[in-house]
Amino acid sequence: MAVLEPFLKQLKQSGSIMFSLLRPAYSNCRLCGRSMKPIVRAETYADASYARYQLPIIPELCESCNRSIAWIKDVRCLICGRAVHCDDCIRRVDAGFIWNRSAVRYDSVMRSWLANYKYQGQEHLEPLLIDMLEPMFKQMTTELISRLNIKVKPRRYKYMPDILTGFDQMKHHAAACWDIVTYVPISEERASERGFNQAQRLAAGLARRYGLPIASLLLRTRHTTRQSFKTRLERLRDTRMLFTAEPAAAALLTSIYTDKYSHASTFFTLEKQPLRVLLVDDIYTTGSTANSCAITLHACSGITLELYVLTWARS
Amino acid sequence: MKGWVYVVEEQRGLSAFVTIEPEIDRLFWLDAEFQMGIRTTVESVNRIGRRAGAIEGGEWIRSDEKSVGAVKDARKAGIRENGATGNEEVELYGGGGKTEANGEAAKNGITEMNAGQLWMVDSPLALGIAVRAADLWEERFGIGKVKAKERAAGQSGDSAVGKQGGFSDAANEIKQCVALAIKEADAGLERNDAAAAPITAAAAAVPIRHIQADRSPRGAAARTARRAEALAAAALAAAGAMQGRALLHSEAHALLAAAGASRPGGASWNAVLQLAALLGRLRLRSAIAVVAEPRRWGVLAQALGRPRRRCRCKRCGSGEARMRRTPCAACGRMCAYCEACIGMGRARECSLLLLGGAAAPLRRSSPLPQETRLRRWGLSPAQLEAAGQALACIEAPSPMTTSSKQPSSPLTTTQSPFPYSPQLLSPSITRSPYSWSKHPSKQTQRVFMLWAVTGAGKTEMIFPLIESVLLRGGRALVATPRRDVVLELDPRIRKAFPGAGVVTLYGGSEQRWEQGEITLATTHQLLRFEGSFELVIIDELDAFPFHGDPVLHYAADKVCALHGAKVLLTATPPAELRRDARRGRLPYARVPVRYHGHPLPVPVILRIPAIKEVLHNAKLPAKLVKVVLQSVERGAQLFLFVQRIRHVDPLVRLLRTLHTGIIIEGTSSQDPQRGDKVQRFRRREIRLLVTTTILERGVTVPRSDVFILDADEKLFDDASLIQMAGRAGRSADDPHGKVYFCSPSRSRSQASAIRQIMMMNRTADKKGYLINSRKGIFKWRF
Repeated sequence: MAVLEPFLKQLKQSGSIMFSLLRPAYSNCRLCGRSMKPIVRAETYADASYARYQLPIIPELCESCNRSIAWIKDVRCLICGRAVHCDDCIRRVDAGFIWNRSAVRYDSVMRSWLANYKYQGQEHLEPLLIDMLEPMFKQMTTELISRLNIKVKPRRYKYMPDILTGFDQMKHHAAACWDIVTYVPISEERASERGFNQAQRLAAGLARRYGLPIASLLLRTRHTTRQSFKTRLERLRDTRMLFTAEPAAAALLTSIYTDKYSHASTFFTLEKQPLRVLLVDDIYTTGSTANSCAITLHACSGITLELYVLTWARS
Repeated sequence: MKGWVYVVEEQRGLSAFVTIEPEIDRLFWLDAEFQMGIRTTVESVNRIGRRAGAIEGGEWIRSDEKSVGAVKDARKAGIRENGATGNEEVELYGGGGKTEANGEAAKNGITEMNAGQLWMVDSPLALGIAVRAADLWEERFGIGKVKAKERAAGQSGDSAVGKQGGFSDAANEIKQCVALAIKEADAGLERNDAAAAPITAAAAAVPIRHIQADRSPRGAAARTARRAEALAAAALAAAGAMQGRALLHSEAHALLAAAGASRPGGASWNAVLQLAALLGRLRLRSAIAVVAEPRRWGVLAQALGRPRRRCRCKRCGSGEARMRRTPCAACGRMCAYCEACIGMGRARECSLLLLGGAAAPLRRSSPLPQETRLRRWGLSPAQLEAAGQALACIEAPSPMTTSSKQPSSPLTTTQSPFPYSPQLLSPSITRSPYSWSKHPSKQTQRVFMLWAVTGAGKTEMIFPLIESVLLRGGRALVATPRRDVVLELDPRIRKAFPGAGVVTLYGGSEQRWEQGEITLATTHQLLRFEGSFELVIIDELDAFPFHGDPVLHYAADKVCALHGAKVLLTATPPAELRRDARRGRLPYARVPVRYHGHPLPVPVILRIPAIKEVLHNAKLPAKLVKVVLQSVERGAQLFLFVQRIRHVDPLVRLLRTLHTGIIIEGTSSQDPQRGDKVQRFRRREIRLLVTTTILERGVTVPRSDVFILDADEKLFDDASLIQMAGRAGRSADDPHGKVYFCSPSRSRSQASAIRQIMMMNRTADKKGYLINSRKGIFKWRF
């Protein structure tokens, strides 16, 4: 029997490999690791009623993880992107940015996901967070295009119908809508401790998917303790003069601006619009960080900017 | 984090080191006043240590001062400064002559400090690369690798010692090694042109600074010496606090802050740690190390195969499969981190892992004979026999201490505090979950399995083992997979050993950074130790998460000192261990009877439909109702085990329709009130508890009966069936609890569980452990 043991083992193994070929393709949930069927439509969920909320579905997550995402479906405060009524924005007088939009509410589940990524360093969650940022980015872009009446020049393909659908169309819209993507910087101490800047990673991921230009325009002047331990007033006081512009920022903005209008033909004088900048961060609490960044950016060059903020979570 | 690599010229030749605080290294090697200061401190500490060692005698409680002094004193005598090199252990054991040659200085623990010059990389490197470069240098050009004659010849050829002479080769060599380390690192990344570039060009670009000995400015000499004294004292204290630990940089800071270590003159923690490393008390490594690529055979394969970098986590032993490479802001490279042990803080390629050195060897003799010591604990005959066997095994001389390699001089009889050299560590984790035999420590560690039935009183049996190690001046560790068990064990251990320091470690424990003679820990906490315990007891080794997690197995091997012993406690050993035991590869003792001397309740099989069907029909089977009502009448506490969480609530509702007049509740891992419900069940407020396998082990409820529903499903293997059956009849006043396996069909695991239980009963009967033994009543009922 002892002699046969390795052979039996081999047989068992090859048997299970054969068996796995017959099984439907299951994958593991990226977050909880449970095995799941790849489901992309909420209608096929065990609890089909989830479909009626018409929320985005992240295909890499299992049903229960998908259901625990606190999406912001209705934006109640058009300035700060809150899902509930907001008093802060009425008080605000010196907002440097036009809107903020956030993908999710910062509830306990979302908090733990972000903590796993940001503080524990589970960088395999990064694509997931970018996936979650995407629906809001699309919504924001579409909204902006319709509001500002931006003309999207459809690219013509020679042998293809003149219809662009889905992702391609979104790419064109995004390119027409955003001139540059930038992000909130972190201090050098924090960077060496954490190993990465979460805002930069989110921004870079988004920019890569939609082919948008990304640049680092800001620097953090001093190392502050973690924002999450502070009250509203402390944050507002603390974030004043926290950022400066990168030395090359002004030149970069100018060159983008001139590039944009250098192709304007002599026949049509293009109406010159301000540069639209998308500022990305992981979390929006009082808006003081975003505001401080925005003020710094406005001051750094003579070009008028329109700043929009996209954050992953709104607390 | 970043580090510098340098080559220093000592009396006996050149050595390569890595530093995180280059200024300290410069002073240590080249500044005479600084050296004087360090020598003063080390000598005075040694003197105190020797005196303390003399007093120590037969007393077994080791105080903190002594562990700083006496233990260290004995150990470090033969050890050269710093452990950045891989082959120092070999030298240590192989050549006693080395230390003799150094004469007086060796006795003081400081061998050759008067270095002439050093060559240091001018700009900091990513720590992983710096460590690898130093290793490469030692591999290629270290002492014994390049003949001293060659170097001497080069030196004499150009008497102006320095830049053009033989020793300037060192600068070139270190350049080469740095370039090679960088190339290796790049080769692991995606197709990269840098990997293909010849290293000579890259080597030329590495800036090297040549530093020669100089004296402090005249007025500052005394100040430098005083500063060195204070710094050395702080370094020794820090090393004492970190003994036996394997800590990341931030963890080390937390530990030192918690231990109240001082930083004289506003020195940084890095300076203190670096000096401790130079004094040979700490070892600085990168948390993830590059393992040398095994040579591919065949010219063609070599030509085609791209060189690959294999990383291994030094903390949890995980290999390339658990590595993830991301751009790192701390070192500015693509830098790997370990996903397997990320819950304990992230180990990166460029992050520092501080190894605090292993435990001191044990005294051989204990003052009392084994029998006397065993009798103290009031064990039952069965327990006494098994504990005696275990005790004999762990007190047997270790293969290490009897080896002929041991140097004979009293000053050098100690072993290295760093038994895990990088070469030894590399092939440690294999695919088998029971890789006991693969770890290098296996050659010297002893392993003993205590196979005791559920309710046999395992905890009492480990007391004499712990006592034995404490008597010999060692430290003991009890590791269990679950936090609840740690908390439950804590008061019992403290009561049994009132004089010893007990440290309880789990996620969020207050005692995280303390040291004690007895450590109770969840298995994950073991990652923060290395080679620090003479006795490692692993409780419930077949339970989740320990079972089947190679990381935790590696950790258990790693924390045990090379000359230590490992005791595995289990009621249901996995098949591999059972086989090893049967074939005589694993010494073991069986305790086939419970402490009260009654046999284990043998499960009865009850044929009822699957629970899914029962719930669908909303009607409990008459057979089940009958036995449940019998148990209720008997006044027992009823456990009902089900497989699925979703079955718990419907079953509770269905059972309530019986109107038995008792309180029925259900719980599962997703129940927030489960702790409360278990408490109420213990207090007999709840009489029937429907539960999933969460209460499978570690729960003792007196006077209980067990019903296992759907016992034929594959989630319940024989081990978990035995464990669940073991909840019944644990107390002496009701030893004959009932156990029912309720299922529509008979499965192999049920048969196996019943067979194993009956086998244990028969063994107990045969050995005469049962209280009222009637020979032959335990017949096969299957």
